[in-house]
Amino acid sequence: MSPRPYVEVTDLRKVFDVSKPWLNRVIERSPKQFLKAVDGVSFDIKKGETFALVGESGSGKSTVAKMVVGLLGVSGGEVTIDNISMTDPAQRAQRAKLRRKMQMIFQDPYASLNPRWRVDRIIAEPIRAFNVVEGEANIVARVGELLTLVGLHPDDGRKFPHEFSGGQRQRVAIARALASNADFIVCDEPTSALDVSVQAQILNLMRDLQEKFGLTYLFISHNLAVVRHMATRIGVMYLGRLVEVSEAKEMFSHPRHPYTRMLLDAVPDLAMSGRARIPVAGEIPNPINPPSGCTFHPRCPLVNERCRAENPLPINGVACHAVVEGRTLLMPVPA
Amino acid sequence: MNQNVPPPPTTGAPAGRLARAWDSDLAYSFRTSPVAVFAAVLALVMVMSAIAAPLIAPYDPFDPASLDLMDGFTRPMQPNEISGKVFWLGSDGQGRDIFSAILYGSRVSLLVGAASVIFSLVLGVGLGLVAGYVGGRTEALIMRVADIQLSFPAILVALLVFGVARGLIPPAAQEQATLWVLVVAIGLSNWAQYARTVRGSTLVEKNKVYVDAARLIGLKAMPVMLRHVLPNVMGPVLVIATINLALAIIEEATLSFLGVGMPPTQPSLGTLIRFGQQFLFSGEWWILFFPALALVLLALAINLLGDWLRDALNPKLR
Repeated sequence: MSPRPYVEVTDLRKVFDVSKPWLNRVIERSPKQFLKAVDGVSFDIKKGETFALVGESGSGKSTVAKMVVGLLGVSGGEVTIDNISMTDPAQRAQRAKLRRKMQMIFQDPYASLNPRWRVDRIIAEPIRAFNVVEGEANIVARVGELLTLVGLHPDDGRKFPHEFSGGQRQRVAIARALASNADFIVCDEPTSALDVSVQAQILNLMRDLQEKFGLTYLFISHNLAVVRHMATRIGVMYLGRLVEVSEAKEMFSHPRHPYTRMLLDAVPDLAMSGRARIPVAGEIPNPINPPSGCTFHPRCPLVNERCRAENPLPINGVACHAVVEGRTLLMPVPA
Repeated sequence: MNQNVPPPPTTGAPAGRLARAWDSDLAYSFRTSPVAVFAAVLALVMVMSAIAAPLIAPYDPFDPASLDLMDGFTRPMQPNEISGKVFWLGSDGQGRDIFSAILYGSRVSLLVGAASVIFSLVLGVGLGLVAGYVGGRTEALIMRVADIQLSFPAILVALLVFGVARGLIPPAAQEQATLWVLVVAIGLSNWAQYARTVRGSTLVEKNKVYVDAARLIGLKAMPVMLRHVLPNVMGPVLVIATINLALAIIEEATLSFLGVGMPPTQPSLGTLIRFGQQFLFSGEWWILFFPALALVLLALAINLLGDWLRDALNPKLR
């Protein structure tokens, strides 16, 4: 029997109550409203690999990330990391141990560092919280080591976050994530707030650190170029559902789900190959009132009656009736 | 000219810190604002002389042995017709030196003002922080209480608290306790403003991801609030506290003027004004005028400082 994957996410759900205040509901006689941000997402991550979640804004990527690390309670489903359940209330004690192995790098490096704290205190916080090393001198040494590791100078620890550029701050955030010797790091769009020139540096740093420490990444992004650079496997999310999961190379060469196809075709093509594309049609629908059946059907070129009525379940990593039924894309050839 | 002297050479950490403080935006804004410097000097002089009242006051206005009824109603800067004593700012009906009484009175006023500001600050900031961070029913409860509180004039709330305290404290201890009753009464009538401000900033701060980062390492709500959120919401609170200090001093004076504040044995500026106004129409204007002037100057200086601080800390006005 193969070993259990390091991270296992099963049928994860999150429903937000977006109702108006009680008084308004009573007066206006409007019902409660719920938003299904994440609806039955399942995937697993093997140790040492990078699993990327991609999708448009509002597809639920960040919500999944927050639920995986336990920042957000789940409405249903299960998350298991290193055989410890993040969702089972009975495993609270084991979860405390898991915390130090699990860190997160956030999207906005301007908001992820406390502006009133010096950088050395920020990086030392997890070290102190988990007693990774004992003694003030050792903590200082460890912080210096971490700063060097992410390409900063140990003296930078005396500075405040506002004295750094966005890329440098993201390096500080990475140092903080590594401070407790974490081996699973959730990266929530770690480069989307950075200049393109800096993005590559940060991504390469993250890859180097992955090789060095055998880190496992859950990588959230909407940038396909970034994902291509980083990911081992990719999950494509649409309106809270995972529509396709496949190996990174496979997904870029043979996208199966029509939505994946659409995303890839939206990437600008410098070669002007003139290859047939699915044009991006429509917008992501309102998740409070999602379309019936397959939620992608209003935008799908392959839609039929079944798609409108029946929600497709993932088969071989693709949740699409058309793929299962073998309906192929009939592309309009550009004139 | 003295203000433009360059900072001393930085040697060691303390001097370096001083130099950094001197170079900071806030210090620069202070140095270049004549109003702020004037207000600070005025406030400093008044506070220092209040603290050092026993040392600089020419008479002890509360030592009955030193009072002489013959000295009563002496005009300012003129020798008394009988004893020949000179009182800078005149004397009241019992021969008490107004200047000394003002020094001692501003001591009481400042003490009550500062203590009540600290009291309402701790209460308001604590409740606002909890309301903003915890949310839900706790927040609704705290903020509705604050709303109710704000719908009453502060002075009414203070009068109510004062009245209740009068009923609860045994008469023998009342004179001793008056000062602290005033502190609680004024403090309780002002906490809501802090709570509202802090709740608002907390709602903003708690959604910033550095709070998530702290929660991620397993910190409980209390340390997250105190270590991470609190330092980031204190800016506006300091401005409110400064302006409220002036308001609290005036509120105390109002209560004392109405006769529910400090007793005549420990008069505050407000008590002095209450006594003074009895003599206003009989020509002894100085008994009212000088304590009132002291109160106005004190409140003005603190208010000007608060205004400057508000503008200096507002990044949009830089």
